[in-house]
Amino acid sequence: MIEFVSAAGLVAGLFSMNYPPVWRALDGDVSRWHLVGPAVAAAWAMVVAVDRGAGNWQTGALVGVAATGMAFFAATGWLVPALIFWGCSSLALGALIHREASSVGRLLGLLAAADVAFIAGVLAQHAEEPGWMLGSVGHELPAGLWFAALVLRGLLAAALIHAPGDGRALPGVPLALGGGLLLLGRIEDPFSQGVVLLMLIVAAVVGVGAVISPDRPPVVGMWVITVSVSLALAVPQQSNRAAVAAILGAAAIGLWGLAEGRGHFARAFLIGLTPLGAGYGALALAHAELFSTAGGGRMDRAALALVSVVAALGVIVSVRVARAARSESWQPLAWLATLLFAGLSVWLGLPMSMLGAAALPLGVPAVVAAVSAIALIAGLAAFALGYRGLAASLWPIPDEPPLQPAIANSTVIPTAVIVPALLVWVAGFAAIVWTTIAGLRVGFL
Amino acid sequence: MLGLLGGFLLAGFGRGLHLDQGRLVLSGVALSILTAGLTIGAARWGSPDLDHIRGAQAVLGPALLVGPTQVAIATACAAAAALLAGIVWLGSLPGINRSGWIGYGLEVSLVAGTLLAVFWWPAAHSESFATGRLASVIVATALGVTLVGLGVWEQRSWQFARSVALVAGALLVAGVFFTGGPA
Repeated sequence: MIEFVSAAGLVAGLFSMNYPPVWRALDGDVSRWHLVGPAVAAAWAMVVAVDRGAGNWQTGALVGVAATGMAFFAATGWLVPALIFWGCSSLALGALIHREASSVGRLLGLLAAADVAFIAGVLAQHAEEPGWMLGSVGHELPAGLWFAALVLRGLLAAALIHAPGDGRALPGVPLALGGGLLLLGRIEDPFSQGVVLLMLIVAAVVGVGAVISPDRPPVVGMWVITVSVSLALAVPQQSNRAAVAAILGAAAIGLWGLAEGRGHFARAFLIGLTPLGAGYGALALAHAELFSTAGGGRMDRAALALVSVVAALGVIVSVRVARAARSESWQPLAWLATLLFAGLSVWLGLPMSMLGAAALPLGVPAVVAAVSAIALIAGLAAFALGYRGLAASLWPIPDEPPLQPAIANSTVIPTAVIVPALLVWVAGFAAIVWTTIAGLRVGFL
Repeated sequence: MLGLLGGFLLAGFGRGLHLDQGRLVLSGVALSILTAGLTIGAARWGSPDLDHIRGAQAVLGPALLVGPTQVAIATACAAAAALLAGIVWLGSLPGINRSGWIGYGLEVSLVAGTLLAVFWWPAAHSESFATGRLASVIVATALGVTLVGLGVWEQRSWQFARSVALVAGALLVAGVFFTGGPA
């Protein structure tokens, strides 16, 4: 039963990105819903992955309440409903942590501190602008308090990745992080370049830590969160791509322990800043924003220079994580969830210019069909080459351990699962190739 | 520019899978200096859009040759840093087999073409296209040959040479960034 409920939650999360519910207390702001949808979908995918057939319905119920509360908080512009929705979400998250995690004191402390910072920010905003609406905050004190809540929620997500136990509290990772990142999107005025620079420095330091210890999931998870938040800070009003990158990356790292033998490249893609993922979209937005202000002073230029450093660090960290083989065991559902996160990152991270290019008339339909077919055949051929091991003989990797360890456990994926998954992968690959060609044709580069 | 940056990141990821830990870090440092140098080149004309950069250079001339003197020197420093970093980045592979030369050629083209476009190339639709194209082809060829030659040479050189090149590149980029440079 929990599988069906989770699948419904996952579909609802994805579907609601473009069709948010609208009723009296909800304004149906689609922009914030673009962040909520991936967080909810990731949480439900993780519920199935960590349940492993045990049928633990309590986890699903708590995730349902936490996800619904977070989603409604995102969509409401009224003060009282927002506090109620946030409170319900936070209580459910706390119950999930209390019930499923082994070491709860520190985790609940972080959650409570984040809630206190959020409520203090609401009160500070109310003192500045009395009223019953809770739109965006533009004053320094409430913005600072909400940023503190985001930092605490980020620490909570990283701590949940590391929390001992059987991993049933892991669905709390995207929900905790998503709630915090929702606050960032409600901050009106951009932060000063000093804050952006500081966060970029923190991200670079954490990135160096992840390069040194690529086999420690909390450090790698913290890298994804800090780099995404630092990029989002540069463009708070368009922080959705960075938020999606943080949520999906942290969720994938959360599932790392259940899918260690597989999904190396999907994890690497999610935590790096390489095209065509959401992380690259965030990097591009931040680069463009910092570029436009680079003439302002040394701090602006230092922030712009650090973006180059952070981008290169992302490459190193992702390569190190792709090759960090801690164990060869893996759970099929956790692996599929990781692939789903990578697919979502591509879907939500494609630059708008490329999507716009794809929507333009692209020429004779027969040519379009032929190029698509060629891309599909090329994808199939590449898969066949890889499957037969010919790729290894064409592109040998000297003096390195194998990148894809053999399956060590006895778990076998049913053909009914693997065939559709491969078809989706090939179709996605063909879409990427075609979109790239289309983008090149209309002068994207 | 952002598309090119993405291309470098993708290529860097693919290359990184073939490198040991030391060369991976070296390659990452080179990549960051290369992208920072290119960013400075774009900042010379105040736009990250390649069309704008090429348009400005078609009217005013290559960024390396357009004054004021201090700005031209800063741009030249950035170009030198990007070139040094590009050489180290291209030469970081421990060995290239027959099929690997195809990928290596594409990467050399990417580096040479990007450096050329940001620091030299005039717009294709300008009146100076005829002479500009000839000069561009010559410079592109020379740059490509230099990069290939130095890249291969670099593979056989000492670790010291790579480190010196990177330190020099980093100092040049940092100097331009913190002194104001062409911005």
